[in-house]
Amino acid sequence: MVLNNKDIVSSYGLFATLVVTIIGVNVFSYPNELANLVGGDGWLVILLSGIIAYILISFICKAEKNNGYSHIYEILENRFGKIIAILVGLELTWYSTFFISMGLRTFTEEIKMYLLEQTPTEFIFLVTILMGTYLVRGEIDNLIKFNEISFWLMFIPVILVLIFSIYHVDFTNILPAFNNPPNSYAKGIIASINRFMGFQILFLIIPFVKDKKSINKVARKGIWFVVVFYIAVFILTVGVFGQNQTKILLWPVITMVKYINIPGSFIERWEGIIMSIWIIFYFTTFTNHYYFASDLLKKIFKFKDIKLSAAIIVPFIYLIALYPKNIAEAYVLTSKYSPIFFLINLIILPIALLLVSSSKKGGNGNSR
Amino acid sequence: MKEEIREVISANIDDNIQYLKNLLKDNSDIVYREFYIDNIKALIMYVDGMGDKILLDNFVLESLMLNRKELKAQDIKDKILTVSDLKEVKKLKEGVNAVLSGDTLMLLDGMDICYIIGTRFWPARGVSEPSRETVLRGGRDGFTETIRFNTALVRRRIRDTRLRIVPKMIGTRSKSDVSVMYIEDIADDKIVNEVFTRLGNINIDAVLDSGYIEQLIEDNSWSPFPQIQSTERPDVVSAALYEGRVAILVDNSPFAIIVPTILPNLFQSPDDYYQRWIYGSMLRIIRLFSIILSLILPALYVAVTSFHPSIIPTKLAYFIAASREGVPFPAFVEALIMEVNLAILLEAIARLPRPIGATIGIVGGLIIGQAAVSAGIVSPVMIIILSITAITSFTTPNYEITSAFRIIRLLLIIASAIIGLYGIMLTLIAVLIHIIKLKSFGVPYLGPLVTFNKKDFKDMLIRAPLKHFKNRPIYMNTEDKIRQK
Repeated sequence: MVLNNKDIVSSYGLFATLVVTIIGVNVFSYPNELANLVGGDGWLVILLSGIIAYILISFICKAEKNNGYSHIYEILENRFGKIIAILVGLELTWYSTFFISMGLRTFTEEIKMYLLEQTPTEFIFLVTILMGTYLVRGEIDNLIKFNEISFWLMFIPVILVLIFSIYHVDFTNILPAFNNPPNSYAKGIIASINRFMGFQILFLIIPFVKDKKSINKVARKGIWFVVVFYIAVFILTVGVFGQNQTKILLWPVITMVKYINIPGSFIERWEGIIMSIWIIFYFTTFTNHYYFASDLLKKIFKFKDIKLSAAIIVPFIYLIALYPKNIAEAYVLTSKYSPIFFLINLIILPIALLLVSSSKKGGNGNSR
Repeated sequence: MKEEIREVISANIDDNIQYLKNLLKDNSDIVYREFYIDNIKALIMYVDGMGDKILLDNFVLESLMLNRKELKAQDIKDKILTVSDLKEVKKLKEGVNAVLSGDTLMLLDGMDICYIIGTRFWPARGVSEPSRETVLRGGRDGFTETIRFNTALVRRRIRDTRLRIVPKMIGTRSKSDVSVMYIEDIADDKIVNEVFTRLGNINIDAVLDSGYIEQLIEDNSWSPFPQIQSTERPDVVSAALYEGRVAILVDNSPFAIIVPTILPNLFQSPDDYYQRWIYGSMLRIIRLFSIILSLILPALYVAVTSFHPSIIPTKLAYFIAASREGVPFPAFVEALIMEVNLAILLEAIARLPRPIGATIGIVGGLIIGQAAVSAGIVSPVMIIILSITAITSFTTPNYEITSAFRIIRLLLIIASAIIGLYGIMLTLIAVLIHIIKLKSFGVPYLGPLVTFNKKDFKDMLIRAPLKHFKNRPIYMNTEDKIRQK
């Protein structure tokens, strides 16, 4: 009944999907990275990267609009021909797979550090991937519903926890402001924009959105939410630890949560709790990218349904996640490759799509 | 084997009598009474114990046998028989089925039609208070085993010309009466059609209880969650009909089933609506809290004691560790023993007569619990957790959902024994994914929690004041959307 109808995603679904896909595990290390690059001015960098991300998102929206809201692979095929479409499609699939695999590794290391010291990494991989596959097999409408519900399950507890940490914050730690050379801001933005990676999910869901006119507005709201959340986390972390301490902590956010102590509360160390909530944060990022990758693969190889392509991706995720020897290597790999991927997939691709589609506007593009 | 009953009624009554006697041979409970109206031979036939003999004797036989006037066929129906429920049918098969359901069949010599006199009357249990869904405030009447009384109980609450009570016969041998009830201009046509399609697809020999129908028409048989609500209360059925849902009543079953059912329905009690909204809302919050507690408490205990003793206060961790001193089993086995123990206890209490049930409760709960602790097999903390779990799990008004949660609780305990908190979270996510995928007659099982309509949230965790209930549930896609102006 639902699958016949193409317009299944509400505005809220779009918003929730965008937010839960972008915000993932790497929030934990974000303040550390920013503090190392620009000190207390991290909030400015977040804001600027948010604006850039929004510009890229509006490119995507525009490109989709010009192409009659069809599937990304069909757009590629129409505009660039079959070979390029397959190459770009595979490359997008690879990007998402690589990203979630690295994320899986990071996440597993965090889980092992704070929750399960003895459990083998491979086992955690396996159960997480299996659970992801279970959701992905449920087609897009279930995925969106899952995102919608997860949004509340994620942000209500996390915001509560963050509010508790305000007790310890010294806001003067953010100062002095604007005290960095301009090129470090640029570096900061290049490093920071990667944390907004994940909005390529728009390629997947825009064709399904009910209210096509408001896509741009809703996406803007989503990016704003992410920016505000990132800034809040950054300011709180730096406010609690000061800039120098933030620079040397691997996961300053968890350390900050650990620091929370509410007298008389039942839970003494909150990092276990926040880690359990964070499981949902990671899981939504994971499944959305996973679905995106599987969906593309399905289109490229013309599979009947997503179950087969989802199964094909599983060993890749597992092996890539297992590839780095430790968490440091995973970080090195991520920081080495993700800017390149980001440039190709989220900057060049939308711009190219936009240019091609507007130059041929009125042509055969809309007559699908 | 297919049942074969002759359709035509022969004009020769002896022929018919012989056929019927042969068809229903070796049956001691069928009464054949042959008599003469004036000089026409006639037969009435009914099942002893299911027919109303007083009515037959006084208003059928007496009127006919004492009749001395010239007789025309049409007169029998129109002028002589002083009974209200009388049907004229042309098919013998219908007549036989009517006899088997308690009515009386009348045949006349020289006529190829027969009369069915509504004489259904059997010893029935009176309307009594439902045992499973008790309320503090609200009607005390519950459904009985007779479908006609049940439909009447609902009709008394809905004096609407648009209420539909559509009869259906299901079961090739049992031929059970099934009634589908809905309010025509409220219920969504799609849902009503879906109900009839699914009922039509049933091809079973006997339907002994509405539970059969429930299992045969539900969406997903592999899910632990009940996708159809069953109730003994006519007011619950009426409320459901007013919300655009469809009720199915089955003869011989005091349980009506209501479709589509969404998960929040199963946590609602009529009390929530009959009491003032503050109390109602409070009850719902308590219920939600209890459900969460009953689901995760034992699993959390296992996870905390075996994986993460550091997340609870140090003093408490020491206390739990000290109380577990000498317990020979890991926390997982301990939890499993007590969980199984509880399940067995509940089953024993449910099966035994009520006076003995209480004894079992005392022996099983108090004595064994006490003895297990003093023998050092389980820790006192585990007993406390188990008791809380048991009590909290019974705050839900629906029994089936309690069973579903018991299964999930067991899964959670196992998951937490393998990978601690992460296991609990993953299992909960899996359950969430499962119920997101689940649908009941095309309506998402989570209802407003996935359709996100603000108006529907007035009747979720908080039960808003009644005067704010302007709309019928949006997720039900009702035709008449306004509840009050």
